[in-house]
Amino acid sequence: MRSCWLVAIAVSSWAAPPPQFEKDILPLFEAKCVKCHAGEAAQGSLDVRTRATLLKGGKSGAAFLSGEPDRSVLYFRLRSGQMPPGGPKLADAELDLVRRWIEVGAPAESPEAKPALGHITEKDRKHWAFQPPARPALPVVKARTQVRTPVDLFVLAALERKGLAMNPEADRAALLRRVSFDLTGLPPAPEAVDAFLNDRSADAYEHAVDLLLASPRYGERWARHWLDAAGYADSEGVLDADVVRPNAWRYRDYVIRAFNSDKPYDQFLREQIAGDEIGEYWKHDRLPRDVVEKLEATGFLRTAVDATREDFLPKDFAEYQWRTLFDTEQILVSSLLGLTIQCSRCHDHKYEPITQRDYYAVQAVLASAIRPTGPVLPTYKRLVVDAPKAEQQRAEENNKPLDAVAKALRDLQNARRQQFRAMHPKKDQATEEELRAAFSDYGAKMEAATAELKETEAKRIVLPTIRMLNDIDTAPPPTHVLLRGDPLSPGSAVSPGVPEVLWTAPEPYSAPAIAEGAKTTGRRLAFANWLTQPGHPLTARVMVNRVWAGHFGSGIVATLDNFGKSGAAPTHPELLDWLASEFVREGWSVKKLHKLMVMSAAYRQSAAARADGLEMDADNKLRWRMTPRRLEAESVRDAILTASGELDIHMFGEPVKTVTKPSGEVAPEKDDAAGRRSIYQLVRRSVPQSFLNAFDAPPMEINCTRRVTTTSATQALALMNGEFVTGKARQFARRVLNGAEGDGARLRHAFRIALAREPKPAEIDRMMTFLKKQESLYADAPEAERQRLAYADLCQALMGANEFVYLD
Amino acid sequence: MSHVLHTPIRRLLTRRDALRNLHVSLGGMALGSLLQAAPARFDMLPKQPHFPARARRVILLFQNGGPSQMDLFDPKPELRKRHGQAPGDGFINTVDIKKTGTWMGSPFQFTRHGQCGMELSELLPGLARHADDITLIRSMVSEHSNHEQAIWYFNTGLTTPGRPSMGSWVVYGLGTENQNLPAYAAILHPKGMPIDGTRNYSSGWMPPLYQGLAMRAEGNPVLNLKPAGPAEAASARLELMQEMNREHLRTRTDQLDLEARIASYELAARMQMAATDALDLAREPKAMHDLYGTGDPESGIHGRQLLLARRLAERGVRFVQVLLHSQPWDTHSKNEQGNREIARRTDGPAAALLTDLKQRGMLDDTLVIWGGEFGRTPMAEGKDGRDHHKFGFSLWLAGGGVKRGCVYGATDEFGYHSTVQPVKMADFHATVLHLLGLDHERLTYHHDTRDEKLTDVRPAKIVRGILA
Repeated sequence: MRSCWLVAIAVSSWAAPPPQFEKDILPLFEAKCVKCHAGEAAQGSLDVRTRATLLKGGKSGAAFLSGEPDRSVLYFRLRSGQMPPGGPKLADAELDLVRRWIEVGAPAESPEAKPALGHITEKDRKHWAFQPPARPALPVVKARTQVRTPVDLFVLAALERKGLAMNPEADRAALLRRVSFDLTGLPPAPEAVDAFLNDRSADAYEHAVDLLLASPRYGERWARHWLDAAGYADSEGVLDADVVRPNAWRYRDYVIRAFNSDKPYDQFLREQIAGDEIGEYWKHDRLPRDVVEKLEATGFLRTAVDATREDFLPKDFAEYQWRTLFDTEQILVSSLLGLTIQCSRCHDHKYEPITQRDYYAVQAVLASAIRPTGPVLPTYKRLVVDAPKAEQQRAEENNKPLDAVAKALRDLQNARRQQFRAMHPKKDQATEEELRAAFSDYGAKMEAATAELKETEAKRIVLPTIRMLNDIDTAPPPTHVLLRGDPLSPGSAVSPGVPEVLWTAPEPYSAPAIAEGAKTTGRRLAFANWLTQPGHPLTARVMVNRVWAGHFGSGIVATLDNFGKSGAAPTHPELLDWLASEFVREGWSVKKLHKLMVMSAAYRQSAAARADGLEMDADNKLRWRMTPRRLEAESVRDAILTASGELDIHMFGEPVKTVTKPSGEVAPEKDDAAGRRSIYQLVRRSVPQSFLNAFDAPPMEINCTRRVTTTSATQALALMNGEFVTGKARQFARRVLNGAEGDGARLRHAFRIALAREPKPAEIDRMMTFLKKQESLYADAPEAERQRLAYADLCQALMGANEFVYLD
Repeated sequence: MSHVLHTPIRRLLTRRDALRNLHVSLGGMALGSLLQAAPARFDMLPKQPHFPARARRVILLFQNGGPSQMDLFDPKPELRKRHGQAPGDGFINTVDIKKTGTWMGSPFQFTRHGQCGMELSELLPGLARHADDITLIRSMVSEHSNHEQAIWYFNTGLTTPGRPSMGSWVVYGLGTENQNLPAYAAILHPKGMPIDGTRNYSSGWMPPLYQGLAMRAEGNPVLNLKPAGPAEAASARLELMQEMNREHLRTRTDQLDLEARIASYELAARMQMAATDALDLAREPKAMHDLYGTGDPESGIHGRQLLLARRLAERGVRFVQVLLHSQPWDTHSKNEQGNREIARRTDGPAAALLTDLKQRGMLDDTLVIWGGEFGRTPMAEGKDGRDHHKFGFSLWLAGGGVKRGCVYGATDEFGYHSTVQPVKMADFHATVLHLLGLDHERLTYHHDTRDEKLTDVRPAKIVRGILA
């Protein structure tokens, strides 16, 4: 490399540093030429991606003659406008750059690099997931009477090839319980079970499904799936401070609303990736509701761990700042494209046709909005105030003197503390408690100031804000490949783009024209448009697979975040493609997609095991039965709340705060809407809620594309002895005792609430014996209390039972 | 079966099948190793090590914040001589070059201890009594000067987050000897978490079965261990539930998760008994409390942590990790005062642990590790502090399979660079696994297209010089 430079300097009299291939020329070619001139099928057999392949040339011979631009085919074709065909012609400055590069001897960082950067071959692109899905023909099946939706044709066809059949339809109550949890994350109310069981019309089930899809509880359930993939958390996640993000919840609410209103998925993605660019928020004084919504949507790209705290910025900790950009890319690509692109941060992917260059091309898409170096904005300043300028000004005028007062009060408190410490034997080691203990007037004085401080704070005008993502400037610094992934070792520059293996999409990634005065580069909008084009190889497939996994327990592609060559092969490739195609055809409606799945006979079949099925397909990949599943953490908690009758269905808003109890348990604050659904509980990364954590709620290190299900003693102990469960068991018992007369009716009531079914006679006998025994064990308690205690134990046992947390 | 806490067998089979599919696309080259990487099931039953182990359990005393090697373990007379002088070229503060200060000698006296003559600072009178029991490594090297990254590196083998901790790897490889107690315990300081919280003992991308079970050396060490309500009523309640569970299972015998869940209730019930005993420090005689100084206003908390650690280790818990609150060794200012205070809080209990283990004959097969994520600069930070330092620092090990009375490696005359026998973190990890009978190259876990190792892809060598 050094010798190259020497040559370049020797022959050149240019004052500016000579152009260099990887840094200056390749980005240009990547933007303008490689769509045709790369890889095995390169037009004219010319691959423009390395100096070596240019020199080797194509059908027209060597592309350039070192030192002689005017005798070089490359320069001639570009200057004459023959290339790129269909234009636009390269700008004069770009042409000049190519000319100079040839003139100074065509220096390159790796002049001998062979097929070098482009590992992507036609064979790589042939991997099924990189080819746009075709709409397959519907298969013909023998068991035609079982078919309820086209889904069944595909499932039955695969089963019949193996000589397997589908199970008959599940018991109706079990089916309603299954679909209720799947769509809303909650059990069906006993009344809903009755209504369904009594409705003997042919469309009774469809009617029940429609009710569930129309319920606001649906959005809360499916937003949870989405927030997992998006890596949602209410805290910044750095060091022990792990500062709470005061306004992240607006993104959570946006997602809930989007699912409830069945926002078309393509629009949903465009808003989350480029809501700021679409909404053109800079044009408005008072932000219209639809623009506000689009800005809230960009919270998707603000979920990653973020260290841009004011006290951190001067330290210029590259690792902290870069991590936000790295993680955001991983979230974006793993959740929407189902690719493990993060593996190519330091080197070309070992198992996938994804190059390091691809990684940084996608990073460049984000780099105009997330900046790890240079003047970095602290995270809390990256927001818009959701109020007109005049109002903002009023607030500022109002708050300024108040802030001054507050500061004075704080200074006073500090001075006073120092003053008292000076009098204390432990001097400045004396704690607050020790000062209070030593000086009788200390506490009162401090509290007076605190009260005044509170009063002052209360007078401040606090305007609503949106934690949004936007482009920091319209001419961002170039993005470089980072050698070994090290921010301190930048390599060649890269233009924004998408992984080369996905150039199979009908439309290429191309930057849209940006209006004069727009505060954006259009990079993310270009990415979103590329992603949501109808023939995209991955977008629809990845989403239908995610929804399928939510209903059937595992994906058609088992690796939800890996559709690459190292991912699992689809169990039903044609079904996946048909669903993807149908999804797009139906306007990207997620609710229609749910219905297509839950109305199918494949979904409605019973979970009972069969010998032939277990023998031939133990994993139930072919769907010869419904896969039994355990409830997810949030559903376990919400189901317990539901049984207790204390579920608070108030929606949206600030998360419910948590406290660490003396026992060490982290739980919702008692009197602060503790009965609200789990999705509204604060997600603070460093202090996960004990109950949800025990049941595998993800820790949100980056994001969670597929949850694990574990069975542990910690869970058992929480259900046996935990304060939450024992408290709810008492409420559940009260509900049962008040809701029916006589033990028989009460037991029925309890079973219907907890398990959505009637108890069997043997169970009633067993429960009666149990109640008697417990009452005798509580002989010391007052008589009225004994029954309550016995029933509470019974209710707790019901909620801890396997049947309560498993779905047939 | 009753020992199985966790059996995601169906998921596992799915993964094995996924691997088979992968096998097709890879043309068969990687099948063998990948399938090998997937164990038959995830459980905590005791496993055979790869070769005979020297240590059967680990007690890790994690000293986060960055203990100062020059003030505790590594005497530097030359540094003291040049106190106040500007360091030459090449000696910089890697956190912030602008903060590179002048050489700062240690204010503490070093004297020789034990038959081995190990030089230790006056801050460690307790450890000094055990100089002949420990191996002191003076040539540790880390890769990072930020707390978080260096902590990840120390605990999980890489400077990136989200990986399984050392303890997770060990219990994944070896299971545990007491099915009535968790295999991996993290004993937290009652005042709060260390920096980086639960990640210090997280199982990362391994199943949560392998994560450290958090305990506190105060109040209820394990959540929800105390039966709710009268014991008899609670056990009748459990009995009813288990009957329902068994009845439910009768028509679902193929669902191993259900059986595992029944077993988890059994373990929980056993833990109510066994753990109550294990975790109850009141059952220790007064002499033990005196030894650990559990009533001491300064070191009492740490004493209780270590007494609890010993009770767990004694009962077969495989990996016990003791954590401090916040980052006590992080002496950016008032280095002298800070070191005095934290040494007073920790030295006595650590010495007591060694004394106790030795008396019980447990030191022969228990590996005790004392160390932090990095050391501190020989140059001053500000007027009287020391900054983070990754090029050379000290840690010590004792017990199962390590030499006694041994000093290994050395730093330069200032304590800046590890110059003799430098030990990289990967070497340290490989050595710890080796002492437990595990080959760091063979202990792999398949995750996200790779067979992962604690040592990642770094070249790691066993530090043979410290093996007894």
